[in-house]
Amino acid sequence: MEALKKPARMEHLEEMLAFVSTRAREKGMGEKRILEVELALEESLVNIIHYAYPEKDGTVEIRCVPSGEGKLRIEIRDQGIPFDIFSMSAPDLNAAVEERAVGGLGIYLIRQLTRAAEYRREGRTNVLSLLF
Amino acid sequence: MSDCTVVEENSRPCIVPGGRIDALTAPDIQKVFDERILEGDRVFLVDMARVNYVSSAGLRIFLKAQKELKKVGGEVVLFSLAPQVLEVFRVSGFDRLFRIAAGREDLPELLREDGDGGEIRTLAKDGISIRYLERGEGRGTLFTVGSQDGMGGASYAEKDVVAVRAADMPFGCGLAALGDRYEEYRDLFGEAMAVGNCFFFYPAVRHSSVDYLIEGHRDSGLTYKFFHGFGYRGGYRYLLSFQGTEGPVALSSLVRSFFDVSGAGVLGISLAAESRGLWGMHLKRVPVTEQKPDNGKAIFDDENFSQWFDFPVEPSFVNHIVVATGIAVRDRSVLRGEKASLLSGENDFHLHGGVFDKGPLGNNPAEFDGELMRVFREHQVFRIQHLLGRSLFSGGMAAIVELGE
Repeated sequence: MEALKKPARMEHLEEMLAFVSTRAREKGMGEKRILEVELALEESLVNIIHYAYPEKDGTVEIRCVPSGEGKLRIEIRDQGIPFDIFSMSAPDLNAAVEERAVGGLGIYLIRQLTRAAEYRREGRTNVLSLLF
Repeated sequence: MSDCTVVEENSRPCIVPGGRIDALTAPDIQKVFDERILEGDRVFLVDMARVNYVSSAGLRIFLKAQKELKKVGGEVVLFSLAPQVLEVFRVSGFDRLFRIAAGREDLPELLREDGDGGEIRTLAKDGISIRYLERGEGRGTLFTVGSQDGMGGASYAEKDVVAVRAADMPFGCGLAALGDRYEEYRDLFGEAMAVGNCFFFYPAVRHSSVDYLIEGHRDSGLTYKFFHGFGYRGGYRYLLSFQGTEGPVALSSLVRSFFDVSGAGVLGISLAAESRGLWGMHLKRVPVTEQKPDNGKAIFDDENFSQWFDFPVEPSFVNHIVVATGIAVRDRSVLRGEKASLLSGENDFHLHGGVFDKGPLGNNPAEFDGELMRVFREHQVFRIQHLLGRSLFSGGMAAIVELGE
């Protein structure tokens, strides 16, 4: 299993995304799908960077977990405040510009771009498991 | 990081971002969007041909710009989206919030203005470009209220108060207040203006704040209390939007340009404009007998002036919205009697303006009244001031009533 652990800060975002897209490329995924993987990852990581550690510095770890042929399972782990991102309600996609909320889009995109996405809490760790 | 250029496309500004629009680069592109809106752009294009990735942080800046522009009748139009980027827009439902052209060649069709485009005329002169439409309205009426005699000596008293029915003064300026009993409103007189049946005044006291009343004409018993001032009523003859083409426009030049639009000698003017540095002054004390200067000299006298007037030494309120109203003359000699005293010194106009929050303004002349009400309802107001001619504006809208001499 390959893993990368970094401080949960914006300046490490590119490196973490590159780590995942390299794994996706090794799996033989097409460039379009790789962009989708990156997008779902970015949405998950930005969420953690912004909200997981409101009062202290913390880390975020990305693990590539063995999965089926042509599939890629990524686990994103942090020790921040417990937060099940999938408990958030989906944005109203039919709202007019004036009413359209600015938040909630990232989580919606994660759901749309993954085969499966789950959240679980392991002791003091948030685990977000994404299957592509 | 991100490279983002601005070019012209279909005679509109076109923003050309490159690479990724994600959590890292979105703030930079947001800055470019904000600058364009501040510059007065109401419709701008975004050429997405070089963008291969957009995350929700990117979507958010598009939505934010669209929300701001839609309020003022504008929009963001996108074109040449890569398939994977278009897919993100579709999945998020954003393809329904924006007009998206497949390619550059589809823009002219998409941007063709519908409806009233034909009656709008344009005029460009002395660094000001004006788009205006004419209405069939005839001459309106200019009237004076009260007397300025009590001003210099600070000798106003209750007998000098003139109550003006709100319905009789849709537009006007002066030294005024709101209230029922003189003892209550005596200390609240200050620079005042009525614009589109809404009344604003800035009491000449320490730690003052603007008091206002929206659509006072609906209350038949309501009166504005004036020591002196003037008002006008009449239908708009011209509605216009203006833009400085060589940098911001001075108020004095702007007012002069209105006489290229209208052939009349006296104009009633209402303005909603974006400030690039306001020069405005206001009274700091109410000129009633109780406050008469001890030295017996006029409040305009050098010895008293600074205690009585807040006079600018530098421009202020950059980027704020200013709504102003008042009169202007082609030639000072046309005003006679009481009306001649409405213009002080060498000025050929007399305008009072309210300073509101920052924000973009629309530029569709036909929607002037709607824009005024939107500003009054959505923006906080900080001051009412007598405006000086060197005040600078980047652009805005105006409505002109032609007045009989």
